[in-house]
Amino acid sequence: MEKDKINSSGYDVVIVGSGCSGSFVAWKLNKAGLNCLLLEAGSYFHAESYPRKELDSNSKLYWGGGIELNTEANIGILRPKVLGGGSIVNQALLDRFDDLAFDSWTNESGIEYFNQKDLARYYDEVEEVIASQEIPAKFRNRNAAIFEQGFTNNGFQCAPLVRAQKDCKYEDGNDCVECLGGCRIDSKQSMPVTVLKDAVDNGLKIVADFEALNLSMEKGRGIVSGRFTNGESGEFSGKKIVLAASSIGNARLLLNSGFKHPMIGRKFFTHPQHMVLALYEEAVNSHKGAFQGFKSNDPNFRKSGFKLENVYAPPVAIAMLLPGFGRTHQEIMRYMSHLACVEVAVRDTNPGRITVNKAGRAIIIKSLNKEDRIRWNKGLHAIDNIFNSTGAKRIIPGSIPIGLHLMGGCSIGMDSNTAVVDQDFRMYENQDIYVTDSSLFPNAPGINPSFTIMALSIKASESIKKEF
Amino acid sequence: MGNNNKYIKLPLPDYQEPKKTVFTRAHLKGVEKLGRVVMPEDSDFPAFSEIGAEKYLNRMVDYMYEDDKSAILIILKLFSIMPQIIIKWTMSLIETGAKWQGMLGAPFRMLRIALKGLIFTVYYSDVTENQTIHSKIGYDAKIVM
Repeated sequence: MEKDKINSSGYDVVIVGSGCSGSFVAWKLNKAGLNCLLLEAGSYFHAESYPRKELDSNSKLYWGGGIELNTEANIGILRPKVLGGGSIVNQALLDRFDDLAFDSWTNESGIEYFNQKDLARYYDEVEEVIASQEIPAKFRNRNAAIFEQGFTNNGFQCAPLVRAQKDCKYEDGNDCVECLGGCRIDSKQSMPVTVLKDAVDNGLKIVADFEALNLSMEKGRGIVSGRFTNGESGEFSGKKIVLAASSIGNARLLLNSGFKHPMIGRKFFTHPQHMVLALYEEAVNSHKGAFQGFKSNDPNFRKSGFKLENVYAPPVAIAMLLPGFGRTHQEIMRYMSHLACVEVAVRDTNPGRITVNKAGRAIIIKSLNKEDRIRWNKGLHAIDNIFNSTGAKRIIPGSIPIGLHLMGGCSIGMDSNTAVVDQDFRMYENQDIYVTDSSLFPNAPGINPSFTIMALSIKASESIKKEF
Repeated sequence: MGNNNKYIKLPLPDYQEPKKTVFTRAHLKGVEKLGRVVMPEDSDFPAFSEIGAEKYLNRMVDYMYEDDKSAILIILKLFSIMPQIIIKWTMSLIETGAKWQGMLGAPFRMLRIALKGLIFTVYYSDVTENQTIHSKIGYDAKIVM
């Protein structure tokens, strides 16, 4: 499947981006008998080739060498660049959206099918191909225990997380934090070990290491041109084009290609996540075992627009969260094994914007408004209470929030003036181009998006299939 | 797929390396001096200079956007001729400026991420053969394959 053995034209559908959405669309359409090509800017890695060092994981699996920044440089954007996208590097959390999220989507978009009943069969179909489990209580680590205890002490409600994984062999002493750089035992239900494997077995063509730089429509064909990592240029065409290259990737491609819809790149949300560390007298060893086991499940938190999760990260990421440098930094880092961590993720209300500079690079304009800051501070206050009630010696807020739920920029809706794609996932500006990933989200749901991205991608595939 | 391996492997080529960045002696000197400020020698921690960062920089810098890479290389060149005390003062200024809200603090936050990121990424990835840094901080995460 080298690039020179792959046809550049004659495809029914060319899909740009191989994350949860692009992979599910490719799988469904391929299964329906359509001739599909999946393009990915990142490289292909597998269990035996994932980078082992954090240095290499950051460089090889993310855009920009690890991190991108918004214009105010106060949100670190983590945008996966690897075959399988976010499913390779995420924490594989699976949550269905609740009524609150769907009702706000219906209000924003005017689309009636955004409800649990109408989308249930798509979620169910995802569950048929993606294994999931709750972390067994005996494998939760002390960081999770602190989280649970802190919730109990403060009268908050929490629930075990459901993760897309199977057979993690915790009994062998495996530590899931390692899988943030790709799962080396194929336990995490990433796209290459689930739907992409099936699709490739069934004839799906994949080209990795190819960055789409321009999209044009000529004589009823979509043409995606771009550049391979080795600098060679390339061009692929198909009857229909599916954009699933993330909020930033889709907006950048469309804007650089001269698409004019005024809402392209707008309504961008990230669920800004602020990790807070706490130092304990005894070792916590947050990196051991199933490093993430709980989430908040508190109706008051949900109403207030934030959620909490017990999380952790490997040493480079923890070091980057700490304040200062030199001795100040070393004084904390020498006790890294004594650190616990809780994260607040805000359901952000202030829409950001993706645009491009003269060189064609994406510019991320995103800030928090007063309401977002109120939500954030409420979450931080709850975290303080959790740590203080469980004996923390010192609480250390992370120095920079991160955004890894990248949503919006090509929002869906019934009004062609305020939305980029229609209810059938087609762009208003060109009906042969579809958008299927989280860039179509009309606002921030406040819930981990990957399960819904997969479900909506199956629904989008049905719309695309009808055109053939 | 006819694949009897233990793990799933799609029939795709392995990843492609990007173009190599060329570091001058001045760039490397700048990294060493910055490393001494950000991760000074300590009774528990090996000095940054012991790592031999020059061997590993490409694994990070090659993957950056061109304009970010150019900016970092200019700063490293400047550091190569600056006295260490001025680099320390600059880093303190960056930490202070990074706390300023809005666009005013943006350049400082960018610099903080770029410069600390450069040093911490090489240092805490524990890339050297003897791999002592993770054991010093009690980090022993593993996957049994």
